[in-house]
Amino acid sequence: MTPLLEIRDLRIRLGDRALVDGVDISVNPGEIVGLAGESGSGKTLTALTALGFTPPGSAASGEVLFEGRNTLTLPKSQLRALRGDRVAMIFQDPMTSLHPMLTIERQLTEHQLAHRSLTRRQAREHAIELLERVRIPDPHRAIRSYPHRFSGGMRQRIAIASALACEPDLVVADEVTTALDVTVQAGILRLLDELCRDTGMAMLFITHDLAVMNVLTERLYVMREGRVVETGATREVLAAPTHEYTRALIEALPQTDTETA
Amino acid sequence: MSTLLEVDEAVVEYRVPGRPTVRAVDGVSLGVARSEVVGLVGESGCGKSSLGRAIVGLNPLSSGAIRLDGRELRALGRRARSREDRGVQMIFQDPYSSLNPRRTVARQLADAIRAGGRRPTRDIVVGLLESVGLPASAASRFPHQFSGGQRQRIAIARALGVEPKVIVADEPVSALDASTRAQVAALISETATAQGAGVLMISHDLSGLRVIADRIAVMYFGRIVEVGPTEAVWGAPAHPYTRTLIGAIPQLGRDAPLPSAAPPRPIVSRAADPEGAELVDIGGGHLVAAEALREVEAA
Repeated sequence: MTPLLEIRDLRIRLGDRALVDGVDISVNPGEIVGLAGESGSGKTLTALTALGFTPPGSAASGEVLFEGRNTLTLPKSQLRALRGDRVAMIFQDPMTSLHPMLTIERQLTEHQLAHRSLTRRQAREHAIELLERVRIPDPHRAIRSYPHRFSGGMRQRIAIASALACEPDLVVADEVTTALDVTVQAGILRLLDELCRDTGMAMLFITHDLAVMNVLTERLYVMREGRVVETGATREVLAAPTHEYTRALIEALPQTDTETA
Repeated sequence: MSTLLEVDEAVVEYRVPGRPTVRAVDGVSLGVARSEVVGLVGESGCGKSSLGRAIVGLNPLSSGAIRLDGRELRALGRRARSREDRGVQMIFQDPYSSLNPRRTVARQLADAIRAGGRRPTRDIVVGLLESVGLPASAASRFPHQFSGGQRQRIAIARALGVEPKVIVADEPVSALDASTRAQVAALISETATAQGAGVLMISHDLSGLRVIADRIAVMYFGRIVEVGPTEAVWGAPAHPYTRTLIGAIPQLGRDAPLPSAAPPRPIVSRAADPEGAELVDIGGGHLVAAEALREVEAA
């Protein structure tokens, strides 16, 4: 199988500091892949660079092949055509991607209108379907309201709907449940899992929370100080880690039963 | 075990003109004994921080009382707190905003030692730093020269410097990296209980609390719906909300399923169902709101 996303020997330097130091990551079509690590490990930077967002002053080398095209060298116009269409991103704080002063309709139709030749009416109908899909109650009413009317969990569902608008092949989710209550998190994890299964979309799921990683992802990469220190099938790696850093991360977790009480 | 801190039918309300009054804490009773660690768990908006702030005097009570060693604590006013009232100290979530960025660690610890009625000496300051695992050289530095975890250690040292009887810690580790969380949480409970102080640790993270707390109290919609020895609450949760909360926690392990996504069912206020809100002892100091037992009978 040809990977959907293939990162080869990615290096990102800022001045004389190596922020990401030779990372290889691949995501197959339809696969849920985890990227774990603590703050400063370079996991978010790796994902952002893969989508063509390099921080000012930094230099990236290596290859990032998305559907065969190298995003590191792709012209801006082609990158823009890719992002929001074939690949989408969801962030920890949904207000990063939702504009506080625009209606939900504007936010859910914007990239459809940019990437597809649809009428406003068709885009609107699709937006309502998206809200139904992420289980926002009363979508016909919701689409006319503004983000502040919704709770944190509902906003994250709307941000997910917005990422799904053009049926991307890959969605990059960066700590998307970290700020949520545990009962809300459970709902979002199930939703993401179901969406990937139903649509065949792949997901690169970034989190520092290894228990979340364990229940959601099929394969994972553990990053530390700009390098991948361990990779493999998620449950195998977390049940029997071979690298001392992965072991230390697991040992730092509160010991909970393997079965739910 | 004698009760050191006693929260008695505490009610905290927020009044906004033109809007209905919000009752954030709805008649909570809870005790913390000497050298005991009590974990108060709940999700955002349940009233756990309002209760914590009320205990240290940052929120006035609408009714009820907070007592320390049998003596009623008053809310903070314009005047300095009395020496006795300083027996309750707080550790906040963000040590960057709770520490003064312009004063050295030594001076901030000296303030705390003075507030506790002692004369600050270098020995006491160094002793406090050592008790939280920081070198004596930390004394002459400023908060920004430390990492988040180290800063939280300084905040702990400052709370201990007052020689408090009770420490209220509101989400003290949620801003820290996963690898330092467990250490810092253990540090708070160990150093405080070694001095004979009680700890009320407020958190949204039940699995984190489970490791350090002697007892767990579960708060939902402003009420305590279940409280008891940690293993009883975790191992045999009696309230449907506690069960939902535990079922939603993702687990490690090869066979761990995706957590259950059934949203928790809301509960009614104490005023709407006074009997249902009463806590009933189901054995061994494990208490649950009567509303949960009613459902068992009905089923």
